[in-house]
Amino acid sequence: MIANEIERYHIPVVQVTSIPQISQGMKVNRIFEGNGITHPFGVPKEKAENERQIRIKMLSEALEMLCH
Amino acid sequence: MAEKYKVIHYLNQFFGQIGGEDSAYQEPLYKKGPVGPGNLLNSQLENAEVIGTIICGDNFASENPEKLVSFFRQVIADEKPDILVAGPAFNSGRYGMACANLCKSAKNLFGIACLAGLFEGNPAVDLFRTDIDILRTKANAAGMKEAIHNISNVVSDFSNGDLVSDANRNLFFPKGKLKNIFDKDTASDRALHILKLLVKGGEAATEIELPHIVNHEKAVLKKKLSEAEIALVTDGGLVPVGNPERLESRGASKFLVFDITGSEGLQKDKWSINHEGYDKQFVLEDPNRLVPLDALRYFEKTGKIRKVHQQVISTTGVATARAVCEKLGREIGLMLQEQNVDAVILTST
Repeated sequence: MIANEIERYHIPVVQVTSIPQISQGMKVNRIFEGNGITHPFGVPKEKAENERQIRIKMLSEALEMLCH
Repeated sequence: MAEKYKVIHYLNQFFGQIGGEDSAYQEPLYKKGPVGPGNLLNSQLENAEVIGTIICGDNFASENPEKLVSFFRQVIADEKPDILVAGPAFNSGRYGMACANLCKSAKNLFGIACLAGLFEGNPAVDLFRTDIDILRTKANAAGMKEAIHNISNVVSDFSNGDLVSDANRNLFFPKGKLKNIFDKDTASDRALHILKLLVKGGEAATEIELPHIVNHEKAVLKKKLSEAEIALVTDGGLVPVGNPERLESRGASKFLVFDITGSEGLQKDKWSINHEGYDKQFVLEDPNRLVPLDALRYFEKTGKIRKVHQQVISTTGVATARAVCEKLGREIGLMLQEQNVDAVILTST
């Protein structure tokens, strides 16, 4: 809902969520599936540097969604 | 004596007496007979009994709905139940979604009569009200006794495969389905009557309630990503250690704004989480797992984006009334527009 309200001001939003079904029901335009409710941009079982690289990759994909 | 109808009860890890948020990834399991609130339900049933209980962690159910349905399929094959009772989940979003998803599968895939007990603010109500029978409950477990009482009355009325009857219909959320009835006045007469009332400054109830969720125009990025200023927003309850501005842990009434000028990332000793809806241990270890500031700075340095907006915006997305969400969203949107932000990455938990 916050995503939709921000978009009223012509600002595109990518919502990162691990429960995309809720966002789809709320008609959010751009939904990126996070890696788990408790760590959407995290991969705790990886070493810190690997995790950071994965986060960078995830964020890259999320940013690309802004262009569509 | 007629055989009793067989009821399967679905509970989350908390009401199923497994554990709290620490057990939110509990895989589905099946126990014979009633568990927890199922005992109260069972004691009130006359023509039915709770033959077994499926218990599953809220996070597991949210992230693996198909696995829960597969598990349910196996239970049905073994137990051949007549009815599924899911919850009551009150206002718990993940639990409510799990109940509603399971009921939808029970109904559509397996033809089993089912109901979920939910509070009207639960996101699952708007998403599933037209698909399944949802019994109204209060907002939290203080309403458990009333909910169980209503559920047992509904199950006691069960016959011909239908849980909802004219007698108990008022206990359920309306599906928004139209039912034809005859009225002594024609539609045009009734419309004119309403119009006259409104013109005179009076009030009149609409005959048709408009749908709750309205399509909105998709916002478009008006420049290249490499020229864009990107803001990070979250509803995961990020706060500075000590939560000096007292962001609520549920039912947020406000959002907070933090200046992150010059920060390469979010450092764990400076940030905390005030949010009742998820296990915060992973984000406390590294807040960038919630708000990916370190990664966004990387893209600022490499030129994929022009600039990281100097403020991070945070609120708490749990049991927050829709009207408040909309208000907060508009205030955030207006503020970011005034600050010439081009796009937002919003992280939800």
